[in-house]
Amino acid sequence: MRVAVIGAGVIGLSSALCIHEQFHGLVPSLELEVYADRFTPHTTSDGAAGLWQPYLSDHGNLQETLWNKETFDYLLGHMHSPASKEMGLYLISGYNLFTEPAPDPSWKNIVLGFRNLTPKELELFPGYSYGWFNTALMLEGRSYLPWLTNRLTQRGVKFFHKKVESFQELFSQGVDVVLNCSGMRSGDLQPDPELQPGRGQIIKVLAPWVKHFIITHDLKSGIYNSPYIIPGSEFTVLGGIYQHGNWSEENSAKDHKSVWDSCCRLLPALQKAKIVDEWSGLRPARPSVRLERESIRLGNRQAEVIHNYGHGGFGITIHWGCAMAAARLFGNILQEKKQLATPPGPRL
Amino acid sequence: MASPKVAVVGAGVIGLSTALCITETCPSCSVTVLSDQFSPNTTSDVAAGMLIPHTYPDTPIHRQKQWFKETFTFLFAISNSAEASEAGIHLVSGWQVFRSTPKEELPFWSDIVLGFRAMSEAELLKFPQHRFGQAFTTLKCDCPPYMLWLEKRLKATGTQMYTRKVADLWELHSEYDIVVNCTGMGAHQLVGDKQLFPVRGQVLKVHAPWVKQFIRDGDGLTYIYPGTHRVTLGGTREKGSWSLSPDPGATRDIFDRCCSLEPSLQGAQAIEVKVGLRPSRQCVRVQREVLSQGGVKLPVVHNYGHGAGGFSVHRGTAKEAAHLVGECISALQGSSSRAKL
Repeated sequence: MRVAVIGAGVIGLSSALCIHEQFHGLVPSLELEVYADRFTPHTTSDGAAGLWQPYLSDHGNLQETLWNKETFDYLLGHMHSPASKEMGLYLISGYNLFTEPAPDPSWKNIVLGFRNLTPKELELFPGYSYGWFNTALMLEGRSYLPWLTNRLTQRGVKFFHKKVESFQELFSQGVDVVLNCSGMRSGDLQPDPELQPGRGQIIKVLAPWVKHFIITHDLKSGIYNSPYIIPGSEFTVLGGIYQHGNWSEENSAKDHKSVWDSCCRLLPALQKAKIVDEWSGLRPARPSVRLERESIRLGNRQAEVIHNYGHGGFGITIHWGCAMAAARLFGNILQEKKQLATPPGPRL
Repeated sequence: MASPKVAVVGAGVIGLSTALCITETCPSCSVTVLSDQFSPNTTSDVAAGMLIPHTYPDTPIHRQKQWFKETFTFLFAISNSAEASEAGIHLVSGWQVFRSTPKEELPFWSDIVLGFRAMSEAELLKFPQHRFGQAFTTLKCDCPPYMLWLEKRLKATGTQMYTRKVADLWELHSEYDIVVNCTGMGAHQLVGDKQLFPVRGQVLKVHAPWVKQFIRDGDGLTYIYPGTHRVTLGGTREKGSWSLSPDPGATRDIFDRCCSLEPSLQGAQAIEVKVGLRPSRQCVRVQREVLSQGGVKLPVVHNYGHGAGGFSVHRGTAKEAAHLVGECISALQGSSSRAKL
C-alpha cells in the first residue's frame, strides 16, 4: 500500500505523521512517501509567525472550529512534554484590538483565559476602544517542520525533492493513495477557482522585550489588513498585509512602509528595533478548507486522492484536526479496499 | 540657601531613583551620587525587577499601595513610549499559583496591575500540584538596562556620580548640606540599624527565549520571570545569611523546582548564577533625621529596607524621600534666616 503525500508544509508533514502513527501497525505493507519541491525553511508554513488563532468568525463552518479545537487541545497536551521546545511550541498571551465592539469569536472557549480588555489596558493602544486578552499557543514552523521531518524519517518515511506535475504521474508509478497537501499550488495539479492567494508580507525584527502578541482588526478592511506584532522565540514578526488575488512573492516597498509605520505607531519602542529579514508569502485561501476524497478511475484501477488544502491564514491553527480527518478518510479507503480486515492470505 | 548640596549614598535602584526624584522636586539642588558599587554590581542587578509587591508587616497598607501605584504608573508610561527597550521596561503576563487557596484571594495590589483575575480551571490543569491561581499582567524592569537608563537621566540633569565607599555619614558633612541614605544592606553597618537583616536570594539567569509568561508560586520561593534577554529563575529566601557565594545545591534545587512548573526549561542554556542580599526590614525606613555631633547638625533622609519589594515601590519611596529632602531644605532655610536676625 503506497501512499504519496504531495507537499511538505505543515499540512503535508502532519497528515503524513498522523496516518503513519495510526496505520503502520495495522497495515504492514504501508509505504509512505513525501514529494515536494520546497522543504523547510522554504515553505509557506516557515514564513508564518506560528500563532494559533483562527479568523474572527467561522461563518457557521463548525467543522473548521472543531478542527481548530482539536489542534489546540492536541498542542496544549504536548506543552508538558520535553519535546515542546524542539517542536517550537510555547504559551503566549496577547491582545486583539478593535475600533468598535466586536462579537466574541468562535474560539473564545478554546483558548485560555479569554476576556475583554479593561479600560487601563486600552490606554496602551490609543485609537482602539475595544479588545480581548487571552492566552494561546505559538507553534513556530521553523522548528515544527524539522521536528515533524525527524519523526517521519525515524519512522522510515521517504522524502523526494521534486515537483509533482500530476496525480497520474504518481499513480502510474504504482502509488495507491495520494494526499494532496500542495497548498497554494494545488491549482497546478487540479484547477480550483476557489483557491486564491491571500498575499502577506512580514518584517522580522529583533525586539526581545515584546512578550505579547498584538493583533489589530479593521472590520471593514478584512482579516490581517491591519497591523499585527507576534513575538517569536528569536525574532518578532510585524505584519498586516492581506491582498486577495495577488500572486507576487516579491517584497513590496509600499507594503514594507505600511507594515513598519503602522506597527511602530502601535508599539513606539519598535522604532529602535533592528530589522533582520523581510518575507512575502501566499496564504492558500479558500471559502472553506478542501478536505475530501476523490476517486479517479485509471483503466481497471480505482485510484484515491485525499485533498487537504486551502487553509488560508490558519494552517498551523487547524493542521492537526485536518490531519486526523485526512487519516479517517484514509481509514475509509483501507476498509473499502479490505486492507484493514484480514491479513494477506492465499486466494482460493 | 541658593543651591543645596545633596549627597545620595547608594547607587542601587533606590539610590538612583531617589536622586532622580530630588532633581525633579528640587531643581536648584546640586545632587551627587556616592556609592562603592554601581550597576552591574549592585543588589538591584541581581533582582528580576518584577512589579509584584512584597508586603511589609509594619508599614500601613495604604502607604504601600500608594508607593506601588506611583511606581507602576511611572513605569507604565515608560513601557508605552519609544524609550521602553532602552529603559528595559516591558509588560509581562503570567500566573501566580498556590498549592492551597490563600487567605487573601485579592491582594491589595490587584487593582493596580492589569487584568487581574482568578485562573480558570483549564489554566490550572497545567499545574497539577496547585489548586488556586491568579492571572495578571504587570511590568518588569530589566537590570542593568534600567539602572543605566536612570544613570543617563541623572547625568542629563548635571548630577555627578562617584565611586566612593562612605564609612561614616559624618564624612560628608563638610561637603554636603543634606545626606540621603539609600545604602540598602549597607545601612546595617553605616547607621547601625539592627532591625535590618539580609534575606539571601540566589537566582539563575538562563537563555530560554521561548518563555514569554511569568509563573510564580505564591509561596514566593519558586518563580520564572522572562526578561528581555534572560529568564530569571528563583529562588531562595535565607533569613540572616550574609553569604554572597553561589551555592551549587541551591542551583540544582532552584532549577528542579522551576522545571516542575515549566518543563521546557530543561532545554535552557547558558545558566548564570547570581546572589543578592535583600535588605529586609519589618517596614521600609523612609524617614528624616537630624544627626548631631559637637554642635554640628547633619540632616539625613533615610530610604532603605525594601527587602524583596524594592522594584515594586522604588519610585513611590523615592518621591517620599525627595519630599523629605524638601522638608530638610525648608528647615535649613528657616534656621539660616533665623540666624540672620
